[in-house]
Amino acid sequence: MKPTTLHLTLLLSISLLKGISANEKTPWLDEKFVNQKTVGLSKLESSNPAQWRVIWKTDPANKATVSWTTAMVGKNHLVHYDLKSRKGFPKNYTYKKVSDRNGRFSGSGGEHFHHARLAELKPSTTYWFVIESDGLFSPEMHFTTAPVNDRSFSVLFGGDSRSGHFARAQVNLLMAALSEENPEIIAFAHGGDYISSGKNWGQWSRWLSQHELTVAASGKVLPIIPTRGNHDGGPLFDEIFDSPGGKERENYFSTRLSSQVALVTLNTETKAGGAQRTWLGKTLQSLRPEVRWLLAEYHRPAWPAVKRPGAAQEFWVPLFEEFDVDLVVESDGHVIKRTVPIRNEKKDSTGVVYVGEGGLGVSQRKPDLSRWYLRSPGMATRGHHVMNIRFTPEKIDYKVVLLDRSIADQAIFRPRKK
Amino acid sequence: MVNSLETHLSYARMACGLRWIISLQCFGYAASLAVPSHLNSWLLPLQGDAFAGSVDTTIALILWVAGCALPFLGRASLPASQTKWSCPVVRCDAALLCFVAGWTFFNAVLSWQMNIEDKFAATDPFGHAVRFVAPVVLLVCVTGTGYYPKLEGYLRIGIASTFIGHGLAAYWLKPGFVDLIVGTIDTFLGSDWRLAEEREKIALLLLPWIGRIDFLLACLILLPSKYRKTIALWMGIWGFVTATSRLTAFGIERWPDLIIRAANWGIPLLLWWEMRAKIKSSKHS
Ligand SMILES: [Fe+2]
Repeated sequence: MKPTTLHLTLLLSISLLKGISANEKTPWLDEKFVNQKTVGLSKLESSNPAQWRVIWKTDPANKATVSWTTAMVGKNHLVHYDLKSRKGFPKNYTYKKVSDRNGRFSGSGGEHFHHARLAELKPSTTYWFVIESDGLFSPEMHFTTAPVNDRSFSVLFGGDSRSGHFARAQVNLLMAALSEENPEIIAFAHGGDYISSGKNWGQWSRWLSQHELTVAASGKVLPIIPTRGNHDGGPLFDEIFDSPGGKERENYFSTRLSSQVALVTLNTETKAGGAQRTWLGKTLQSLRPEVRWLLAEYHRPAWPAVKRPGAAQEFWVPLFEEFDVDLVVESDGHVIKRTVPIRNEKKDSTGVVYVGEGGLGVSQRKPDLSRWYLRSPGMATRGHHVMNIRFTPEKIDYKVVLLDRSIADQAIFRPRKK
Repeated sequence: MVNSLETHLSYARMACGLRWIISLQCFGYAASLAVPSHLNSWLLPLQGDAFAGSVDTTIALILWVAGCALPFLGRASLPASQTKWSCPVVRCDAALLCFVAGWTFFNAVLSWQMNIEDKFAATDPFGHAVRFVAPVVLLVCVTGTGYYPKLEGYLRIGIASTFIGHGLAAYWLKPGFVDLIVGTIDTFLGSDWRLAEEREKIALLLLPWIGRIDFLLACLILLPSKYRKTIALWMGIWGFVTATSRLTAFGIERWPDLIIRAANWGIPLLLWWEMRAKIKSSKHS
């Protein structure tokens, strides 16, 4: 063999191997793979439990809601769960919880929601479960409750999964892969705009089925912390996510993710300046001395990269600054952005950083890079993405992961000096 | 003879007023297109960002041109006998007015359709009515095909629709309206998050009454009455106050919100001015 041929063969083999490994790491870039996965989603027929999800609200160390859909009303809906894997044999699970809330989805063709509110769970503990509806079962899945100590963990953040169904499936598969590889990832906070039309059951149904793609191959489920977006109006949001925040508080609530981390979820789709603002003030005031990392999330940005500022800028930003919130996550603009630290409408090293703005499948926009708060050390670009935010005692590690797993942006935030 | 002259003057006054109001409105719409429109949101998933963005830019450009040109195309606003369709200025005037009416109407419909689950957005085609009725009325003035009392009637229907649209939203306690009231109270009395909940309660008490008064004014401007002039003035002042509340609640950078609503307050003020002029001239004669 001539040296040149040898070289060529070697080069070809290396590039092929590289190609295979890249493809193995990002199989969702292949259309066939995504279609295959989509076809394999659970069928929404008769009482077959489908469209499963775990929902976190205020107390994820001790509580979680397991939710699912059946195509018909059914009679017996329950969750079997345990601290160990029981390989999906329902009788072997120590605990069971009958669904607390069942009902027909508004505007649906008879599909029903079921919410089993698990309580008295142990913190930082993996729970294995199967869902049963009238003798039909889901595969075994598991999730891990939030810690009450100061251990490190990660949460995925993202918003706007509304219209690009294929890209949405791709990002979901990326999230499943990240979650599988990294046991530290314990939840997924969705920043709103799940679908295009909040009253359209067909669109929600598709989103719910595709949400199954975020479940890892091992059955690991990422509990979802839901935010309401401007496209999510109507009763279905509350039916799907079991009214996060309750009726009195219109979808705003705080989630204690650990002894040192709290996430405040706000609702930009209702009155921002009144009761919600007073609640936010009281909540931040009580949480600030208790936690090292204090975050807020909501849909319409206070510091947008594309659109004009929402009411959050007028009513909530002064509170974020007063109580030194560490990081704020926004959606709606369909870009990737990280602002400079902002205080009193100026760049200030003691200020608050805002990240966002939604890339879970929706078509991306071009950010307006001339806005002062996006200039270096801030940034803005575009691309389908998910944000991986890791909390440790020393720092917040913020990374924006694109579909090909490349990192579009990263930053480190240190604890504020007291 | 006197009547004909009077009608001619009324036409001229109305057309002149309409031109300035529509011009202001055009600047408001054009400025608001610095960020994506409802049309952009609709086009984005279908055609991508570059196309959707260029559509917005083109519309903004036409609106800037319309805003600048309309006050100076006034020569064409004469009764039928003096209108020259062959004149390019008249045709240009008519084309711009068609575009402004079309865009304001389309924008209101898209606002509703793009937020179909939002009952408040469903009031937009009513709430924005006067904004597309005004350019249509001016178009009729330009072409000289309209009969003056009818044109005044169309404007009254437009403004009544706007008040009904806004009245409904207020009556249903539109969250955005609550924020406008709370934000405005904050501006005048000082911002305090501890008091925000109480201020929201005040807004929630006021809004149903604001809604009822809007309905009443809408009815009164449509019905024949000797108080119509006062009603028009009241509607103009109230329209201005509510349009300005965008600025008092959220700051001066929201100026496009005030002038985008130029017709909401400008048309009733124009009607009031016109009625006043008529009464004055009838007293003189
Ligand atoms: Fe949105």
